[in-house]
Amino acid sequence: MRNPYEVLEIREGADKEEIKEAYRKLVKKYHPDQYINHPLSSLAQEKMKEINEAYEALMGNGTSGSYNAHSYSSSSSPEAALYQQTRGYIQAGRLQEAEQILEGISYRDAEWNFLKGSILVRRGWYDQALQYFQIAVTLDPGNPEYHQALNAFNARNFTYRNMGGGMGYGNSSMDCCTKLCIADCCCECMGGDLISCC
Amino acid sequence: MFGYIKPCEEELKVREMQLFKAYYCGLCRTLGRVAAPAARLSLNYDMVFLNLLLASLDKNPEQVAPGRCLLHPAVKRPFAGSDGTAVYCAHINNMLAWLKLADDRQDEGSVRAWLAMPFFRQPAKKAQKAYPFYWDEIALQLHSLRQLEEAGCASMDQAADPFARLIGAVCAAPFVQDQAVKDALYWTGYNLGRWIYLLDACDDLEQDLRKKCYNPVFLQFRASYEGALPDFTRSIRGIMEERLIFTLDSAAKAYELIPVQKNKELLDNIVYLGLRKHTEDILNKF
Repeated sequence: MRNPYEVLEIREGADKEEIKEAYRKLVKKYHPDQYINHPLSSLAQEKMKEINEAYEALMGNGTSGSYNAHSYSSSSSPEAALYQQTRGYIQAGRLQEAEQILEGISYRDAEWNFLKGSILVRRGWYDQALQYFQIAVTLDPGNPEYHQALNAFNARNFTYRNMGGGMGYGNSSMDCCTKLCIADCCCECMGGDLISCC
Repeated sequence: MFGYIKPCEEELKVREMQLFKAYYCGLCRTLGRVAAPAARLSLNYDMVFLNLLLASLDKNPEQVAPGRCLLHPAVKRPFAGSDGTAVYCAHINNMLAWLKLADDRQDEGSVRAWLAMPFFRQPAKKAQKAYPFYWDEIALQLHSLRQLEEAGCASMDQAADPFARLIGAVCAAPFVQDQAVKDALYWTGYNLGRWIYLLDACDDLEQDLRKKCYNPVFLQFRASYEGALPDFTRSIRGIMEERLIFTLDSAAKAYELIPVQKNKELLDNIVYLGLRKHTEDILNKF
């Protein structure tokens, strides 16, 4: 095992608060939710495991908020077995085989579109992937997995920008709080109120 | 290559800027050393980033030494890194320069390319001999790219794929042994290549439309073109920004899995700020 301090990117002998802080930062960065449908998700999971182990070694207990990978239940359509097989291939990174199975299925329901989207995201074809995810959600609006995939897709535009924001990008413009305060002042001038406590 | 991968200078420390410049000068000098002085003219920022990224895998600090060069003889400048990494990047640079010229020559019958080719022939031959696998891969991807462009491919995902693969392959350098690191490098490169290709298509939109040249972004959204370019660009700006930022996010996620041992601040600046700024600069012209 690597030096846990090194894994958490902190100096040796850092106190518990610092360890927690560093742990939280890294978990945020490498959390599986950040790597949904990313071809390197297994690598990120390994990294996450290493971070959890380092954290537990330093904090001296096994009860940290370590995460578990989600598992999904499958639907029971006639193509269920084929879909299951496709999922297996996707998990293993064997995209061509996964795609071959899908191409052989003529009835293209929500699951089909979802899996097709999952393959395309992993290949880096994001524009088409998004379209398939959208079809999947339209065909089966009640399925949480499809929604999650679509939301994760949309959220990733923000995670990249947040990293840059944290490094000082675009700081010259007003932040959200300042804008709210000004909006509140304007409302009060007009006789209304936006934030009642000030 | 296009020279799109640059740091965001406003947010850079002076020390980091100097280091970036030292890498630039170091690679330029290596180009002259491994090939020919003329090859130095083809150096661009993308290759400097590749050198910086690959060099960061080595824990030992780079050798930075002051020296003079032909183009700036008056003042001594710092030079960094002329080791195996820089030699690899120099060879890749020369392959790309040559194959791009050959492509332009064959494609558009460019006279400029034809005039420049003699200067790059020798460096390219050396590069091919040093890294035959990468030569074949680059030639193959440029060939599929030309085929897609000739066929008028209207899917930007598909059109960007060959160039993305090319950059991915180049990033997964031969001296990286660990397969996990190689995968992370490949995927960082794939997404950077995709980003470069699509951003370049956005940048050239007006010119391509005027000259009736192939442009994947235009073809993808042709349905919403009603004869006026400003209306068209306004209608696709949002969606292109989303696609480009998503691509950068995928690149950044893969980059975070590369075990960077040094110069992390400078690389972070390029990945999170420089690339984003460049995207916004080009889209703001819309």
